[in-house]
This record gives sequence, structure tokens and C-alpha cells, in this order.
Amino acid sequence: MPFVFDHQPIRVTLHYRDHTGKTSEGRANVAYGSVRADIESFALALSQAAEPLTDCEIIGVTLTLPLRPEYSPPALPDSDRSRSGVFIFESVTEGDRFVMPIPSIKTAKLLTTGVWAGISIDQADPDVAALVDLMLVGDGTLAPQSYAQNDLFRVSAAYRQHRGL
Amino acid sequence: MAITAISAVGGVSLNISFTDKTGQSSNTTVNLPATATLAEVEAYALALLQEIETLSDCLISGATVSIGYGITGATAAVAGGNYAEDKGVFSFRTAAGKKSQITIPGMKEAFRTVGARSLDTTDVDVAAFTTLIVDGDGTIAPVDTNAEDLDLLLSARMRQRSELGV
Repeated sequence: MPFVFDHQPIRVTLHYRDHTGKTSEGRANVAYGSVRADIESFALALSQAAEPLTDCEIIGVTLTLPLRPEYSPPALPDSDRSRSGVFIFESVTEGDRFVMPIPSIKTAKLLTTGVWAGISIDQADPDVAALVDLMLVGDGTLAPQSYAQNDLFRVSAAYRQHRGL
Repeated sequence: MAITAISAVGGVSLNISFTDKTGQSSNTTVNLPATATLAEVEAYALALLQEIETLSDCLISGATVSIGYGITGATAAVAGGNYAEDKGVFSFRTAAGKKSQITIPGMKEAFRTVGARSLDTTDVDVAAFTTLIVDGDGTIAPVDTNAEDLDLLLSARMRQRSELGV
């Protein structure tokens, strides 16, 4: 069954810090579908309205859009979060990498022959290739970036990692 | 000083949550360009979750899109002022009759009614805040978790740190 998101309001969270260094937060929800620029204007107005009321410093704002699938297939008997498929992507800037773990990678997606059988992820598998393509090329509008916000351009390694082994 | 601007820090973060057969959870994060719109991110997230679903034995329990902002011009915390745990608790009624609260940590003592826990909602600054919540800024107005408009301020009171057993 394809994913459909059960839309939730968007959260605007103000982060506060008092004179002892302790932090706290206050949150307002705004309607799903609101435009990002409009939410940012509202968040600024909210920060400015809250500032005269508090002895804390307002140190930041976070905008959060929750995406909850209406239905997800249940976890399979083979699922184990300590087994991950780790994809290491290189960005266009030398030495800049992005690591993407996929918890409980299906063992059917690992190589079955060669010295790396059972360890390396089979990048020729159509599902794996589709994921890699979505990470490198994107969906036609957006494509992910590295931590340093550089475009990703290739997978340098993809392997199974099992915590405790 | 007073807050003059907020500006995005870093890119847009897409965090995907997984649950395995034992109920243990894990997650992975993807960074997206800072200029992405929420609609673009949601479309990309849907495509990515569909691909990941083919690769993982886990249940994909959800995802969140987060954008962090820095603040320009914020007033520093008041030395000796109220603690972050001393909160102004504003209760609003939604159009559906449900109660929804918004809190302000470190609420200034000056807004508290003498000898009571209630806050002075006639104060200009307090009224500006509650009006922004009820009426919005002309484009955006807050809602509760059921996406119902907040129609009416029911109460405003100070919840002190001592009430939390600290």
C-alpha cells in the first residue's frame, strides 16, 4: 500500500535560555499547508511578542512539519534495528561525506557472492539503485546535500553494519 | 536590544523514524537544501520513504521535517530573573471547545497579579501576545493539534518552579 501522510499542524517552537543556562521551549501550532515564508514571518512576530514577557533570552526557533504515515506495513519478523545498511555518499567537495544508515536493511539486498557476500549492499539491485538515484539526482525538484550543504555525487561505500559484531 | 530577525541555520532536515519487531526505534536523517519549500520537502519525503520501505524490514513509523533558525538582536537573559521553569501558561479555547495551552518560559514576575497566580491580561505586552495567538498576524493564526483555531483566551497564570517539586 502506498504511503499517504496523515497531515498534522506545523509546530513553531521558540527556544529559551535563562540566566543559569537552563533551556526550555514554548510551542504554537499553525495550520498544515501554511507557506514557509508566512510561517517565518509569524515566528518572528511571535518571538517579538514573547520577548517582552520573559526574563529568558530567546535563542532560536524551530519549524517542524510532522509526517505521519496513515498506514505502514508492520515490522517484519527479520527486523532488527541493530542491523543497518550504511550508505556513504561523497559530495562534490573533496573529503565531504554524508552517511545514511537504513535500519534493518533486508538481507536480500546484500551481495550473495564474492568476498563481500552478506556484507556489501548490492548496488545493482533495482530498489537499491532507485534509492541511490533519489539521493544523488533527487526527485526532479529536490536533492539531498551533505552536512556542509554540498550536493552529493556518488556512493563510495554501502555495507551492512551490525552493532555488537 | 530587541529581536529584529530570524534566519535559517543550515539546511532542511528530514528525519525518518523506524521501529523493529521488538518495538525498538531507530532513525536516519537526510539534509535538504535550505531554500526548499515545505511542499517540495513533503513530496521528496514521500518518494524517499517509498524507496526505503523496499529496503528495510522495519516499520516506518513517521518522519519530521525540521528547520532551525537563529535569532538576531535577542535581549540577554535577565540576571536574577525568573528561571526557565517559571512559565506563563496561557490557556485558549478552540473553535471545537477544546483547551489548548501555550507557555512562555521565564515569564517575568512583573506581569503576575499581586498575591495571585494569574497574569495581568490587560497589560499591553501580554495583550499583544494573546492577540497574536487568537487573531494571528494577518496571514497565519495558531491552531491546536487538531488544527482548530484558537478562539478565546480562557486563562493566563504563572506556574512557578516550586510547583514542579524542584
